Amino acid sequence: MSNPQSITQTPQPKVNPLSGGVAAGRGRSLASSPSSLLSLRNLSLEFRTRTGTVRALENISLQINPGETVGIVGESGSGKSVLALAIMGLLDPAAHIPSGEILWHSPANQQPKQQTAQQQSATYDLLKASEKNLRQLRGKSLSMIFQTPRTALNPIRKVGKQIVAVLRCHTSLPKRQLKPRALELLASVKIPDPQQRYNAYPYELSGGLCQRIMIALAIACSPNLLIADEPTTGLDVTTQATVMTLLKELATKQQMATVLITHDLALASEYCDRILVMHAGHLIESAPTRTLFNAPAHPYTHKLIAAIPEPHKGLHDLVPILGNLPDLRRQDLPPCRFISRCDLATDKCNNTPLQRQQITADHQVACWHPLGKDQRGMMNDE
Amino acid sequence: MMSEPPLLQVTELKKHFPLSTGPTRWLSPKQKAQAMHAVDGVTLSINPGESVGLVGESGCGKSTLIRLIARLLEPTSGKIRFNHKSIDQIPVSMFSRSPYRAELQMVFQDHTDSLNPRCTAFDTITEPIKRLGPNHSRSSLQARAAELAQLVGLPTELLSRFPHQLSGGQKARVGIARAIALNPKLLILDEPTSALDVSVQAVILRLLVDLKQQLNMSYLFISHDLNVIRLLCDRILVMYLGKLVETGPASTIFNHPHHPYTQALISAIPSFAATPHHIPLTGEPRSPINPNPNICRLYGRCPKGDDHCQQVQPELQTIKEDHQVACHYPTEPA
Repeated sequence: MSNPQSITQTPQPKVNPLSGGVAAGRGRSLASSPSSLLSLRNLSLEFRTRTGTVRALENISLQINPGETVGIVGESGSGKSVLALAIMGLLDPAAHIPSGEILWHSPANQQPKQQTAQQQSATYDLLKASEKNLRQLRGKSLSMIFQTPRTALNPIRKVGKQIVAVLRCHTSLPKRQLKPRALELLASVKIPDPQQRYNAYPYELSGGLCQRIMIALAIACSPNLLIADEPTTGLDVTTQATVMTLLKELATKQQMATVLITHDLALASEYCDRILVMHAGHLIESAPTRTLFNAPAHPYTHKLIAAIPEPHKGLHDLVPILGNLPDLRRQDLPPCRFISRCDLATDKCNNTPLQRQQITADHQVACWHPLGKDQRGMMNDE
Repeated sequence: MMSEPPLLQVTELKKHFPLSTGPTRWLSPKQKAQAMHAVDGVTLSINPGESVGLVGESGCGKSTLIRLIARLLEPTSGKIRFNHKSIDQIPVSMFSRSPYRAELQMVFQDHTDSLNPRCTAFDTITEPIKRLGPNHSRSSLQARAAELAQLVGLPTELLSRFPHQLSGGQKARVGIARAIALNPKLLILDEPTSALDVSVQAVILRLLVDLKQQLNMSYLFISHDLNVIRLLCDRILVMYLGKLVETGPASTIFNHPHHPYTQALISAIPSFAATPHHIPLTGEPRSPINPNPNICRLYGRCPKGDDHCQQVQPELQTIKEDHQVACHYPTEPA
């Protein structure tokens, strides 16, 4: 594995012992490029539970470039949120990472303040970073919007104070400027009457407002990367549109990379530059938004798109995906975890380790039988 | 359709929640009088065999309205006629034992929370029959449960399982089987698919359509997902802050919405269209606590609002057959 750019002080990444797996076919494109902000290499993650080891993520490789908006879509249980928490270093103690690395390429101007010899370089592995360094990073250059804003906010602190706390920890603003800055942030997320809302408790605010407070918290220190985990679930469509437009605006203004985790493909299609599709802990397809929707290569992506209600579709145009996600505790999981739900599965899928195939420069799929143009047409006719 | 009397007729239904409960002697009369107007004068009717969709933003009173209709909450005022009988006279506490309960059933939003974790699917499905059904014998219950399971497409061997042993789609099916166990005339569905993945959603939607035809039920359907509403409903009611603002056939509401709120709602549906063009609603909704009866509830967020909207609250007016709008300036979107 060539890794020319990363100058990690941490031990050089081992060549993955899982010679099979998605990793085997990883192309050159997956090596971290100097421009990327975050890159994951062959990240695997398992939860050791009483009833067996849940292999929640397997050989995830991806990279996120500065300023781009990446969507991660998939069914519930496909590992989207676990992936986000792994990047943030907020995993449950039961989680165990047997292999892989999460490389953070800190932009030159924003390195942790107290640099040790370990962090002289611009690139380091978040999995090996100390909790102290992680804390400096989290909330400052790497921040997250959690799924349920009402539970993520502290219920017994005024929302304004919660924003001030973030500013106090991560910026060098003098004390008297903290409140004005917090008010500024509240205004920037379009909260009407920030002066009054500053003193509100989360329970006094509506779901949409809580969500905007959460966004204000996340962007307080102008992060380089924002992970938004289902930022609009539970909000109605009008509020959803407002919140998403706001996120997009902020991302453009601050050159912030955004990872949007959602199960709503239509929403992802509106706001993302690139979409990654996950299924049962595998990253199965990665493509620019237009390509993904016009020419999905993985059978699962194709089925997912066919199952979405859309204005022009009648009830009988909706094709459900039969079957369930496989039990990730099984010891004999097939190399392709979609095999039991796939119409195109052959013996090869069952025997040969899954490989990532390059369809075009920016379109990758982990499938032995990626759909071509003619096949998509055929499947539609069924 | 018009000659037949409606199955459900709701007239001027109101529910005001007092803000202060319990001992209030130290509160000023003004504070005591404060009430949250969750549902404020809703009139609607549902015909036999019709499916009606109810949409609106969270906090607009949708859930309160259906809880009032399902007789789970006592209304402040208003009339509910169901199947030619006035059911608002039966107190809520007695309604669960009345024969009307059998004809008016509900499928709840969260399939995990609405199933008793200590009851197997069989217990859950047969519970309404044991309470209200005519035949309680063990063998007939088993036969009926198997029949219902088949109707909703639940494998019979899963009947002995507990909710935590079932998948999301299977739990949804159990919830639906329980609701249709007594052959209700009206089924109220509170976001039946919001907790499901798209892969399962399509199956459940088809199931609901098939069941409606087989059992000749009427549906009152709530969903956040307007694309789902479009697929399932004949008629749509749009609600904003406790009031209905537009009602009409599904195709009319989607293609020719006249109320500014409906227009914003329709434009906000995410789609694969290349460029999203949302009609933004700026600002926050007005407070539902003792709202001024003379101001349009959308005033302040509405792009068309002017002085007139601040003086007279618009009432529902018919602009076309079956199409009613509560706005002073109903126009088609540009």
